[in-house]
Amino acid sequence: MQANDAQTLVLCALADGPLHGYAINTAIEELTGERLGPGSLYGALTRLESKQLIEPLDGQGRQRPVRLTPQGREVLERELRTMARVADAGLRRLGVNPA
Amino acid sequence: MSVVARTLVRLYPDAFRERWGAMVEEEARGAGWKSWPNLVAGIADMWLHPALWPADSPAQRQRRVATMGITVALAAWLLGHLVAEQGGPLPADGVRSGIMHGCTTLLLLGIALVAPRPRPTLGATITLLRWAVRRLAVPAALGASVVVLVHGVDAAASPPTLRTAVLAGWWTALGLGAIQIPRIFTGVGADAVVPPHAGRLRLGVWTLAAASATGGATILGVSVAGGALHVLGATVGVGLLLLTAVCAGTLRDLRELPSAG
Repeated sequence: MQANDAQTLVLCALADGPLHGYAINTAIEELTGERLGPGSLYGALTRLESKQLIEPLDGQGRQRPVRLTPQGREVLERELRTMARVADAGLRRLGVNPA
Repeated sequence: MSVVARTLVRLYPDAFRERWGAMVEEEARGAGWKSWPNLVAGIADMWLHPALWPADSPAQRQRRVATMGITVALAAWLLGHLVAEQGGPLPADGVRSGIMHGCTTLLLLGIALVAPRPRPTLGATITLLRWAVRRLAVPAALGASVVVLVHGVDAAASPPTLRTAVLAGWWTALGLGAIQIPRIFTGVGADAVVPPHAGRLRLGVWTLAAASATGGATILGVSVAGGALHVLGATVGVGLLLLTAVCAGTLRDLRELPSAG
């Protein structure tokens, strides 16, 4: 795995297109029901940028949107496929039909 | 409330703050006081991972890791020196003494491996010297004053407050020196020094990790073994082991970064 929970959530939020920090957290809140703390969110963004999985775009005022790089898209897809396989196997073992 | 958020954001490293500061502040203001512990954890996390800070080039990341390596080495040396000078739990001879000498050798080797190299130009040398004088003038003057005072005053006849003040002055000089030496390298920038290449940097951080782990385990072991707990020794031992953890985190960062490989 190349990304932890917060980083995977950020990558998921960016899958639809570029967003700035506040919008990323709003998308995460829609996904999980709660926002990431500012330390976690911007720590995840810093790590993803250092791994070249996201890249900044030109900013609008104080906000600076970021987008997935092709490598980031690839990593996200791989992470999600792994998670889907694990979820599928776990649900089967519980005797629950995967949705 | 916004004052607290702004103050906390100011505690982030400059490179992080320039890149994300305004947005972190906005997010923290919106989330209120409940976000403060997360913000503090984020600040500590960033300071412990300089390889991850926003950078213009891989060389800039390597320079930051090199500076962190020197900081860790000086902190480890200062802690080891504290135990040795202040009546620590280590005996003056024997196997443990040999281990501590080995750790010191490893620290010096680590510093030699991670230290940025001055560029071979007169301009770079002058810049480096100027920054060294600027950063080390105060600790050097303080340390020299202490030495002059100690050699000029009869220790047996001097009052206890003077002895305490001299001791505090000595440790302040050493501590300031340990803080200021890494700041020389952050001050001079890329024009005067070149960071070591990635392989050498990794080897240097590994060496520093080995030195602090061996020293920390030895001092902690001796401090908790036997009849009574040696508080200073145990604290220093734990401190050295924490420095090992910092090195381990940096090695992991270097492994994960595509640009530093």
